[in-house]
Amino acid sequence: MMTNYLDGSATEEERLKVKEHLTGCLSCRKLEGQLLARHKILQDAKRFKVPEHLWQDIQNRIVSEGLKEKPVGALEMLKRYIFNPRQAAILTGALAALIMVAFFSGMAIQKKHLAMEEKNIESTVSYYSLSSDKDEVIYDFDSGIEEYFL
Amino acid sequence: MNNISADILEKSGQGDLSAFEEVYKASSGFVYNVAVRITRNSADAEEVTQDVFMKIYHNLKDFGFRCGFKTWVYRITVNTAINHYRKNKLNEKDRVDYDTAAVTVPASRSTEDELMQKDNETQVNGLLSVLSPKHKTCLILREIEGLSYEEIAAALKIPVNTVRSRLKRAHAALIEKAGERS
Repeated sequence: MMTNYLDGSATEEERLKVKEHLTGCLSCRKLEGQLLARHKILQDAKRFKVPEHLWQDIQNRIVSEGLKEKPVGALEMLKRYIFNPRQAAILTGALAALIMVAFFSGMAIQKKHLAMEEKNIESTVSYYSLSSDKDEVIYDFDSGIEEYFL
Repeated sequence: MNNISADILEKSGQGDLSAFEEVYKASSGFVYNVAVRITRNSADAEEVTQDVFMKIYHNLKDFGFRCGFKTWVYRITVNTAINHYRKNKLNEKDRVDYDTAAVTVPASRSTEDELMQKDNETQVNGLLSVLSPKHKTCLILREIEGLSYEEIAAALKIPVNTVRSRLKRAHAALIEKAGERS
């Protein structure tokens, strides 16, 4: 409360409370005197003037750091692009999307291919006909050619 | 520390050196004075000030106004100065304290004023030297730089009540030290 009282941040109620206490307490009055003296010393601390060459030094550092930056090659640019967290996230997302598209289109193509194969098998399959009278195996190629030979 | 317009900050973030000079003019007084008080040495304070402004220059584009610019500068300054002080603590014997920095006081003062100022400076130096960096920082920001409790809390990323207790302990330490001397 005393700290707040001394630097003026105490509420009116706190201030009155401290003042009331100080009138009747010698040791606290002594403490107040000590704190006020220190408070004044710090408040009167001088402001140092910023050396004039400082801005020039800072400017020189900025310029020299700018010059130190080497021209960036394609590989370095790619490296920077990849190691930039935001870019890396975009790149990963794009890659994941590409994989998904490739996977699903692959599945669709495979399905279509299987369906076509099934159709082809159906159309080219050889049928054994065991129902011949002479017990001969008759190959039925599902075309009119056997009729021609038979 | 003077207020800086958002336009100037934006231009500085884009690398505009003349806009950045405005930022420097508005905040270098605070940065340098806090640095002198914490490092207790003008050469170190110059180094800290340079480092602070290089950090500001490089990070201004990502600043994004998530907190006040002043609070951001207060935080960078305090952290850079304390780190510098800790790093150089081992070489404490080589320090040239406030007297070196005092050379920069405007020459228009009378000799009596100068003597009084020098005496006061010795006392400030004596008071601050007995405190730990975190107590000293709170005291400097409050008593010398005149920041509010809330501004100190935001700059140091600590609760306001911690600022109060640190200031209380800092004052207690100063009183205790005075008791030991007398």
